[in-house]
Amino acid sequence: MWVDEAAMTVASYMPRSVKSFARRWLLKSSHPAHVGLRGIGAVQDLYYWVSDGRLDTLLPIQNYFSVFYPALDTATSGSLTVFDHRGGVLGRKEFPLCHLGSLKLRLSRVLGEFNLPPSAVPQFGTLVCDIAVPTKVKETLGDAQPFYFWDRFYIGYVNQVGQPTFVHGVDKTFIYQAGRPEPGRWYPAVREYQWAPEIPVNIAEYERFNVIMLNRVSRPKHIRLVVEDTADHSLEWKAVIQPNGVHRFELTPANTAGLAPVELRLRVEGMATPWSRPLVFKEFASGAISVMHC
Amino acid sequence: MQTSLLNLISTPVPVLNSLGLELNVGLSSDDPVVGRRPSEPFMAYLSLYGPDGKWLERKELGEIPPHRRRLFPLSELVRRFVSSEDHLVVVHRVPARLASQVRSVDEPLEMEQEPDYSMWRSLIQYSYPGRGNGSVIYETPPRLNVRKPGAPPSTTLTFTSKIVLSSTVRTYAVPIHYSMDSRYAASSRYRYFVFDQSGRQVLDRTITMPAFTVKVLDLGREIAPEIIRQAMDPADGLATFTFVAYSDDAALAPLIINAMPSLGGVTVEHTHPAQAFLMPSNDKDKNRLKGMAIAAWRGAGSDSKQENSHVGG
Repeated sequence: MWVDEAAMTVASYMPRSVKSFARRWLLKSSHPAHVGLRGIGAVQDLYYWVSDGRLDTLLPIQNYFSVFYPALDTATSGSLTVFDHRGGVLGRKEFPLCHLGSLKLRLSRVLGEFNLPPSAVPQFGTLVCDIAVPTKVKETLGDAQPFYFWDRFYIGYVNQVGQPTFVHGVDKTFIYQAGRPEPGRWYPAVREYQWAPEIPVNIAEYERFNVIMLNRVSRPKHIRLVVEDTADHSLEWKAVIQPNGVHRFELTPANTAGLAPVELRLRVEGMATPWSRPLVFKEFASGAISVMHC
Repeated sequence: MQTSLLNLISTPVPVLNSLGLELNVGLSSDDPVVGRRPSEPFMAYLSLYGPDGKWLERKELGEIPPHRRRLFPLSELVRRFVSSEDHLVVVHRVPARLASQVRSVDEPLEMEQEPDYSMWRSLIQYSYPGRGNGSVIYETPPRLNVRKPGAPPSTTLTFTSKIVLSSTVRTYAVPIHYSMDSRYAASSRYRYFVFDQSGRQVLDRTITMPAFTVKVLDLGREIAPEIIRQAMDPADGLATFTFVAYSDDAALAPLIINAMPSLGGVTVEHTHPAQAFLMPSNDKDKNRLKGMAIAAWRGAGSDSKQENSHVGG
């Protein structure tokens, strides 16, 4: 595993032309997408969760293998690992999943099962969920190795009156090899990327507008959120996000009062991975919520 | 090469009049991937289709100056053409410097190479006016439903776990049948299944969608009330289901809308095509596996030649 990570680290610093040649040479007996993909397994992303009494998190877990193999018995099991907002592990839960079946997990209940002292239960954090490749699917893939699934599942959030909102994963964080419980990281190196979300923000429409950033690499990451208005005035906020951790930049009409409130634009600087773009969580005066990735 | 300016950056959008949702579209003149392409002025256009897929009109929405976001309210404009039914509109962005080189943006422009605007997505925002809004970003996949002579049509396999129902929560699946070829005229059969948590199939239906149309599938009405009651979690009152759908004659892109009208809450997400879940070492295995899965689903459950069939109960 460390050889794979070292190779990927070296490759990530190469110029594009050299990288292409090196990638072909390095990966000639492996998967073209990643040197660590050598067998059968799944790639999973890191997700944001919140459970603070006002909002809760819903995980509607679908046995997606059944969609690709409806005629096979795809009964399997899965695991959920929950981190606090600094990336510390809070607990791990395993669950069965039947063929064509699904499971709804609520984070407030899962956290309760971890039996943590009340002072150790944070109000938000991150999680990773993996569904094991079913035995029958592994047998069917046989000679097609390496073969991986990228589980792009949806996570939901629900308010106190039961309104749900959903968003899908946006990036890759962990590689789960079939039969091994501990995943490896997808990204071996920390890089610098910027993202300019398309969303025009009319901040007066929201009671709270959170811009949520996750750290999918193994080192702490400095990140900066810049908010600009139509007159090119700007405000900025900074944070350091721990590995597997999360930071919420909360924007309100009050803390953006120096800016024209219509058609604000966001820019995120310091993303460690190319696709770790922000999640925005909108809360309205009516109590309604909605979430989206940008 | 002949380049269609309207197809450079476009997004097909359902207008959901039947759900009472207002529609806004957010557009940016910046490449979301900072540093890849410099910002420049864009012109925004809207193509309107009738509920039957018939072409109606194209409207210029306005200019997006460099380094700006614009939120265009569309409901009032489109209701002048279709007042109450659901239908399709398409939002286009064209760089102003290219739009100025043609008499009409309908005309193709001769270019050495088609510019790469991948990841240039539109923000689609539905709202209950004065209350909540929900938004999603996506773009038209390259060459969507552009058929090559003699080649088989594109196909669809899609699934989602976002089907949540309660006494106040409604969920709608909204497949979009669009093509980047304006001459496209095919109809598509879209078959969809719903499963409860135990894996029991509770719905199996087939609809036919003409080109350039959308359809609102009200899953709370289509799933039998008794099944919804059985699936409800007594702790939170939510019944959750999963959705699987396929089409073997077109690529359809569904949106999933979850709404709580009493609160003014609405949220929208797209689904990913099934092939986006597959990472084989040989890329051809994606289509092979997807094709095998669609063939298996075609033979699954009841023979759904007739439209609208409940299963279970």
